[in-house]
Amino acid sequence: MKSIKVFIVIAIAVVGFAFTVQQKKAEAWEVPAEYKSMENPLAKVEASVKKGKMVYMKHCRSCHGNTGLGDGPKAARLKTFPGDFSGADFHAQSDGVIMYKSIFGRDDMPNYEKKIPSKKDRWAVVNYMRTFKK
Amino acid sequence: MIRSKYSIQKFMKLTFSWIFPFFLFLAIILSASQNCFAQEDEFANDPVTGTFESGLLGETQTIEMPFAGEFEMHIQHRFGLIENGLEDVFGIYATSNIRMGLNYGITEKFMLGYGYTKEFKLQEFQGKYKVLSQTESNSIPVSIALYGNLSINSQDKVVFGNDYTFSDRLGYFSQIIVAHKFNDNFSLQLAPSFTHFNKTDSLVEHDKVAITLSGRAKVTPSMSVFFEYDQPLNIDDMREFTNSDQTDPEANLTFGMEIGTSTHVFQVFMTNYEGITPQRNILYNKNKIGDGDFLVGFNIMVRF
Repeated sequence: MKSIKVFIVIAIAVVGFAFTVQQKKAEAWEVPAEYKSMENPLAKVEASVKKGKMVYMKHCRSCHGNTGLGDGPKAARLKTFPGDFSGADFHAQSDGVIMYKSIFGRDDMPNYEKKIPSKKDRWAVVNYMRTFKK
Repeated sequence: MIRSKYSIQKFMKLTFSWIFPFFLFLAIILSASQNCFAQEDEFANDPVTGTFESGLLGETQTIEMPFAGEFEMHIQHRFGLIENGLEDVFGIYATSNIRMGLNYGITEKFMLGYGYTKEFKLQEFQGKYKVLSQTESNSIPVSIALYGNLSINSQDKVVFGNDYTFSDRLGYFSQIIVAHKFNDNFSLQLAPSFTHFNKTDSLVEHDKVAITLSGRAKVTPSMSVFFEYDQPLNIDDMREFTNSDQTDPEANLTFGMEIGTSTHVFQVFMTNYEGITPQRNILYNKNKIGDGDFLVGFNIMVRF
């Protein structure tokens, strides 16, 4: 009887491991040219960063984590790693590109056009994400 | 139960003596303040966002709407009064009231909803229309929404007495909601309302005008504290019966905390109201603030 229990536990562990999907790295993201060159009209001042933090904590934190490391509570369930916003690669992108990716999304990254309808809020969250730079 | 002797003259008198002057005063104050905060940027004429976290704040509606094509499911729960202490663990084991509801945003400015409440088996249909949105520059200083709720008491018809007709089941609630977002952390709203029941208990008036003041202050980016105060206007000039003051409804105070995420809003609070449906709360509340007749309630809202 004991050996059957051990066998069941091992079987569950093996099957569970077999179905564990490893997160893949995000593929290259085609961003329309108009967004690549789009200027951020919102000054990176304390007020806009604070506003951006409110938007980030409400909509982004659960996947991207408190400090943008891609370690939020929902991150492990995603097929694609949500990205490290503290690295040089992330900050090499223009504000327009970050705003486009944040709002329009693709695959695992949802579209936030309806949930973040205000242009000011959209640019504010970019300003806040810039503070993650190490 | 007694049917209505509805008096529009009394309502108009009240409107012009109290409510209209108040809004005039509010408009003057806010238009005076707009020049101080005017911004010369490209967002100046954009509508402000996040005045409140969702369309519901404790017991009252707010000017917020679901997005076009978005559903909003509401689960509202009110425990019993806390007065019995540990005997029923501050009302948790007492009889509770529950409401389940579903709202749908037809456009960005118009929503419809349906809900049912356990007490009195109320079936509710509600609608809200956002008339005006406050702008970033305060060129429009307030957001204004109109809210209406029709409740149908679906208890057995024996409850309604001898000469029963279907209209005896109906109760109405209409409200003008005026809100101002002062900054990202603080918003206030004022909402006069008119409640009408076609049939009420003996000596309970059929009509009641009330004023609700509510506000929210953010504590962290995703958590805030809020309050709400509802005052039914028990004015002698408005009385339907000379001795109806014995059944005057009591004012309500609600205070609690709110956590908002991208898809959910959670509110936990203390309140005097146990009816959940606004028309029941306004006309029938007997829980007194001064006597400590509070109960614990929570609202859960899911957007999808």
